[in-house]
Amino acid sequence: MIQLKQVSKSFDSTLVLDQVDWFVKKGSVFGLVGPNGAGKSTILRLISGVITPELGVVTLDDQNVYDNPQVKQRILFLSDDPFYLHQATIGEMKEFYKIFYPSFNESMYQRLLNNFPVPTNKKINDFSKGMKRQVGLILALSVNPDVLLLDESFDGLDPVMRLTLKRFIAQEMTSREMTVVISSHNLRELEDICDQIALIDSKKVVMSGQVDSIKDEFHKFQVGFRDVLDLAGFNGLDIIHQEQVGNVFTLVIKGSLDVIKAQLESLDPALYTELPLNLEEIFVYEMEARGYGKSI
Amino acid sequence: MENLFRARINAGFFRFLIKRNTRLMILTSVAMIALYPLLAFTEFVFNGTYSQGFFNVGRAFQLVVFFVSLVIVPFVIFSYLNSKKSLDVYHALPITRKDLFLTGLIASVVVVLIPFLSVYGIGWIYNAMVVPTIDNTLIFENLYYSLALSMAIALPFMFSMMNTGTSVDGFLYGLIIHLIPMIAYGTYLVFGNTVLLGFRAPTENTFLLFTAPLWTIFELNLNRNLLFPNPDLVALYWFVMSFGMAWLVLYFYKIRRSEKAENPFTNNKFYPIIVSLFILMIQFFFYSTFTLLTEGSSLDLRTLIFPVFFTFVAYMILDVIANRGFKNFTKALIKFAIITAVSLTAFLAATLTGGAGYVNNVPNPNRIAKVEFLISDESGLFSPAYSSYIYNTSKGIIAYEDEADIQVIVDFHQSIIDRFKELGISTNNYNFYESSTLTSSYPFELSPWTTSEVQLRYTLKNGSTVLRSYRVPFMWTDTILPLSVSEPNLFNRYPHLSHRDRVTSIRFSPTTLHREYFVASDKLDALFTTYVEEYLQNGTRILEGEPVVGYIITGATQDMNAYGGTSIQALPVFKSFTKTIALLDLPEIVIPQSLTFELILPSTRKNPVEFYIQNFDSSLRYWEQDPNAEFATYTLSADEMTLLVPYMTAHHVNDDLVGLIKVVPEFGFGVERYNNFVFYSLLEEGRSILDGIIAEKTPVFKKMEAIYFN
Repeated sequence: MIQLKQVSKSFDSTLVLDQVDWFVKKGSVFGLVGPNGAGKSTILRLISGVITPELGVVTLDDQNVYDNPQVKQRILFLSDDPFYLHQATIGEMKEFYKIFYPSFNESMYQRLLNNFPVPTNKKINDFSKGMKRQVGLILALSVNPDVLLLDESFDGLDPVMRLTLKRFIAQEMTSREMTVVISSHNLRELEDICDQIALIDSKKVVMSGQVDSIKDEFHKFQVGFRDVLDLAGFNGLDIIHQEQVGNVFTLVIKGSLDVIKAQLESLDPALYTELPLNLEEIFVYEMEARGYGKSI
Repeated sequence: MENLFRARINAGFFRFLIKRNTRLMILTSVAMIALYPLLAFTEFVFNGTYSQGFFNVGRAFQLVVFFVSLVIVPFVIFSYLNSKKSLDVYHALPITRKDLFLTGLIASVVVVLIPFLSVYGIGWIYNAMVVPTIDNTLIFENLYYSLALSMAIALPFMFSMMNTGTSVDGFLYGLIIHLIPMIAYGTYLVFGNTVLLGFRAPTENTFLLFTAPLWTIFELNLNRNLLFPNPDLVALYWFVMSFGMAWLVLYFYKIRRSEKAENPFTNNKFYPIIVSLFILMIQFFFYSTFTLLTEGSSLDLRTLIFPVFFTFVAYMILDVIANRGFKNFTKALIKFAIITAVSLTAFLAATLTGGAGYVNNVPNPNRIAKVEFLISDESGLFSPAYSSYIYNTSKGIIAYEDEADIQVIVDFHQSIIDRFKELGISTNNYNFYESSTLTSSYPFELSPWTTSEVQLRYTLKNGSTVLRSYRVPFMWTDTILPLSVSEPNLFNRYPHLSHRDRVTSIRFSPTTLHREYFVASDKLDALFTTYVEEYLQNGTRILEGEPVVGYIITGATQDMNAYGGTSIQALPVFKSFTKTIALLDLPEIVIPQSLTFELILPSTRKNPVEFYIQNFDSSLRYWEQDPNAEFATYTLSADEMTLLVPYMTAHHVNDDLVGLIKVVPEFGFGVERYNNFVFYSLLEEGRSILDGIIAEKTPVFKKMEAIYFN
């Protein structure tokens, strides 16, 4: 479906993406995470054809996206701060999108309007931030795209709206295999909706895969010892986070659960507990391990 | 260009844009209709009459509104380019960039044209209804020029828009792009006129007509005398050029980096190129202008202070605008220093090399196809008669194509350069009349009446032209004067000679104080033929200052398609033209005894030439630097005048004249009779007779003012 092959992109002399390879399968909901300035929005702009890479190609079903209307008709990009024509109402914006997207679904539009109470006769620029985002999502979903790119689009929505939208997206995914790529800092939300996730850091996609398999790869343990432990006992474990209070250690370890368990048990701990670990924690620890925000 | 023609308008988006801009079109229409025709209607309400003048003024301002909207509307339609938010939407749309551009461009044109054409049409119909004498040609010419140049006016702003990230920058640099050709041409003219000796700019502003659309639109609409190049073709040229400009704008649109919107520049090279060029030219312009203060020395502190400081401030202002602050101050300072070093080096090099050899360049005669030259001075020997402009299509300037003639002209040109070199003058940067080098070289004051304006136009065999212009003392033209004794030059000065069928009256006005008398019209052909023959035979004598015995004055109809009316020509008859004089059958000179005349001599003989220069065509010229200078005057009797008449002339240029004789108008001739007095010059040959006459007389000293007006 969506593929980035050896994509590099820089802004002036700043390299933002360096030979990125990434693939998004049809019908998946991909969460894109990464620290500020990692290049998440740049990837979405590349996929939507707003910008073009200096090196490499961005394709949708093996067709180049940039300046290719046939391919772009299947993609809709909703940026973090949606734009509306000056003094336009939602009706005028609908007319604008209908010109370019023959797939625009009028009944879907009406359905969404019924679910999201947006005033149709008022100018969008007078709306609150949340309302503007609702309008953007209504229009985006009404376009009926094969690929929906959402750049932090859920931020600013109230919980009810967020949930309703998630349901709509889920319905679209199941009914017609719509592919969704969402960039967000809210990993709890992504965990709810995404089946796959990618982590962008150091100008590259450093981690990409099924949410469950990523979660399976990271484990959190609390282990305590009667005597002072020789830390050499942890050798061989890929510890990405470690806290120590007296002889009690809290460890976040990457790798096979069985192998980790076997090694920790071999150290004969007095206290030994596996703790739950959510996606947000994985992201935080992984980024810490990469040196992000550690100095503070 | 292929890109441009392959682009397609997105009809839906086009309709959408037109609909979105309906209010703007209404507003523009109202602004336009208030000017044309409502302005004229307002006059009608007040005065009950219509005047074409009000319609014309209103229409001119309506054109201004049209051009302003041509600049504003693309900024409105393409405003999305200057916001990252909007670019994310527009450039994610399933439409190619070239289609998006073309649709926006055409929509901009239509949004401007609909109100303009509607109101122009309404205005014209109303105008034609109430003013029957309306000049339809002018109205449609203005419309054609305005439409043909409309895109050429708008596209430089759009080009700027494609390289900048905000509307303010887009507008500012669009304006600078428009101004650059005008500043370049102005710099070229100022540099040439102040620094390059002999510099002559082309009489037609062809350069600007083909490089500066903003200049061209005013030139085409306001200058109705523009003959070359053909204004219709100039308009067509710009129309065609618009496609090239549109292609260039499209190219920059396609490579415009969306991520750089909202930054001052989306193209890093744009600002340095445009602004460096702009500042370089302004510096060059000011260096050239300020060399006027230095009288010969092209570069000294006075030349530099203002240009460098002024452009420094201008550069820094532009830099602050570009960088939105002073954060780039040190870098800007270094860049400005580099630009200044480049401009100074270029200016010095251009000056020291005499414009890369321009000053000393005289074309090789073998390479010259023809030379046209004009010497304008009080002798009038090469000046075409005013009426020759009407009769001839050559603007009265003769082209010399004969090898021998070309050689004479080239030698003459070279002699001018050599003489300036001898005087140590190598630039135009000196005050001709106050130049100590020049004035000390001549025994008379240099003035417009003692100098000649020489204009040369070489057409080389390869089709290129070389233009030069010099102001030189009279005597430098000695070598070229024999060329004036030619049939073409004679016919050029006196067009009636070659248009005899138009001559309706013929009379003779002698310089011998007689009243003029009519000549039988059947004598015209023989008279003119003999005259031409004798003129060509006696050319050398004429140049040496032979006395004129009188003038054959002819009246002839002009071309009715030009200015209509009658042209008057006075053909000088010289003393040696015996056959012509015989044909005229002149009566004996009889001066009424009742009259007295006033002889005027300079009080000193130091500067005898000052006031003895006159000719018939231009009437008497008098120039004296010192208004208090006094002249010795004597009263002459009719008998004394009879003795002096053979040595008097009213048509002469000579260094050796003795004095003037003031004559009452009744005994003058031609147009001079309408003046209070007529002055005749007394030739050197009459000096001995004069000395005898005044030996016993006591002079009365008068200032020239008293002589002239009393």
